[in-house]
Amino acid sequence: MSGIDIVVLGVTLFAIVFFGVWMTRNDQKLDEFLKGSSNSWGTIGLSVMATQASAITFLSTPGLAYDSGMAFVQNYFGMPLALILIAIVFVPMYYKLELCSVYEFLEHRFDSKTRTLGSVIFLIQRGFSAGITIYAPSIILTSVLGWDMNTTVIGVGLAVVIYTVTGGSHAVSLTHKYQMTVILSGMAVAFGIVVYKISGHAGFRENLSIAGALGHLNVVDFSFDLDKRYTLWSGLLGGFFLSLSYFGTDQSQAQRYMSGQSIRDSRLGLMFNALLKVPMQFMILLLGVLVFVFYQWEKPPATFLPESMTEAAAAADAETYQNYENAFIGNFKSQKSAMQEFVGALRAGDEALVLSSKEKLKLAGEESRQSRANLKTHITTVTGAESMKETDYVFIHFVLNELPIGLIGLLVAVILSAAMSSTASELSALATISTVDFYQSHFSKNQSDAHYKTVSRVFTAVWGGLAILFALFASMVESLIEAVNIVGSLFYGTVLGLFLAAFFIIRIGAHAAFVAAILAQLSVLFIYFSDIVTIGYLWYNLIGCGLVIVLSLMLQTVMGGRKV
Amino acid sequence: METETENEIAASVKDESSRGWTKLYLVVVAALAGQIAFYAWLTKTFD
Repeated sequence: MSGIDIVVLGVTLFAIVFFGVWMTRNDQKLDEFLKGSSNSWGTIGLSVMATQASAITFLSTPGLAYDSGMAFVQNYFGMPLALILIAIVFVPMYYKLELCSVYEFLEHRFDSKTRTLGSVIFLIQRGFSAGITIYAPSIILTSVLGWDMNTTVIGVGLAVVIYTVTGGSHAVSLTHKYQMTVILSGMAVAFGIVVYKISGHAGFRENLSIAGALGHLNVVDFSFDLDKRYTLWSGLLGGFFLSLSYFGTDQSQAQRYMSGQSIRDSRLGLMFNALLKVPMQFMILLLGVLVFVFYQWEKPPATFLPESMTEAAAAADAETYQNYENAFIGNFKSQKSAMQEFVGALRAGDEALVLSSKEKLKLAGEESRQSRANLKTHITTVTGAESMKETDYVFIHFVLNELPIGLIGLLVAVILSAAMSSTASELSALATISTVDFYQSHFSKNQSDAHYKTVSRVFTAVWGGLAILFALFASMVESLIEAVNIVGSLFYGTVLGLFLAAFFIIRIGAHAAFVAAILAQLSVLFIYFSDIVTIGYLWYNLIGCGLVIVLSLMLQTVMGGRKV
Repeated sequence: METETENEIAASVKDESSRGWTKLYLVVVAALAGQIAFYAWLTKTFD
């Protein structure tokens, strides 16, 4: 990165942190510190969006579209429907009970032990993932920019801790507004640049036709195939339950929309996301597809993984490397000719010619893809980097090599802003739950607001320190990243089951719900560890949720029904 | 306590009869349906 880029990056990030600290420098009430209880719907909307969008969203999503097209957007189709249900049922109840922690609701509806169960599960999940939120972008940025890993992790972590400790949840919401402004502006600039760059080869519609011919505009899949990862139906159903659990029962999100001036602001903030989240994901994926088209016109590198690996592979076995590279270059040139022929046919408007040149392009595209895959496999095998996901490096490679000086700094600021925004929400939520659900509830009930504010600040710093430590040592246990996702899925279903039983099934009482939740959690863990059935870990969300509801209904029946 | 909370849940849902909110939720559902239709058209046209 040039000096100008470093200045742009430094000024952008410093301004956000300074703004967060400065705007919340006056003494806040405890409620405002823990919940940030005076936000307008616009701030809530951006804060909810910023919490969900981590750095990996902006690093990996364009890479995913580069690799396999746009079908991933279907995963978000259930989200608007879940947000409507949350706005109608969850939000008014959370407001009426004046909750700081969503798990307090479980105590109101059931009892204190059920509330503690929900809180413990949240702390386990979010405690792990806060570290990964810092670690994942750091490992990618340090490997391509040559930064020191420990300095990056500590720098990002400390920046977040500073404004979250001083300004609490209110500072998190305020900084989210500016982080989202940076993020959306940066992505819009990147979009404009890639459109400009490919427009030198063909028109926008012609480039979309090329992407389609090469299988990258497969947005919606109506098939009922359960083996397919992304279909309309799995997106609507799976996306609905996943969003219901994430937005409805996860404190890091609930705390964002409960920070409104009124129920109206909270609902409007959620509807803001219900309307804009799917188009935003679509645009990020489309950006990835256009980057894909760009690298069909301009020769891509042998792999988007750090350049040092390509150099190492070439040095280790020059002859084999050269053979693979020559094959790839030959196929790339053939594909480019086929693309020019296809564009010519589109411009001529000859339908028969369009169809035949499209078929030719598909064939050339497949040969080019295969020869590059051979070259990439050779590099990763020689360097022992088979587990590294190339898709994580595609967008940052484009940014570093194709964007002008100054804008590179802005785009790196986008990625770090996203890392900071999601980490801040997590730390704030972890501190609130630790303070309200454990310290205040179990250890020290009648202290002053100032006392609880200090305790909350200490918890924020402790969780921030743990997240930084976890991120520093995560590289020693690479599989932890996947472990965090699995841990989330193993526990999420149980919590969602408890909330759905609490809201919608009046006949279920406290003891039945608690015992069912324990049994459901043990069953999910047993199924996972015993290997009696092999299923994708996302299914554990549904299994856990279903088991809580079914078991609690059965237990309630055995226990003789509940007096209502 | 439990019964009190359940009554509040029921009351909260009833509050939602406000026409303005219902219209907004319908707009969100319609926007989702419109997007899915657009994406289906995009897939059919270019794929």
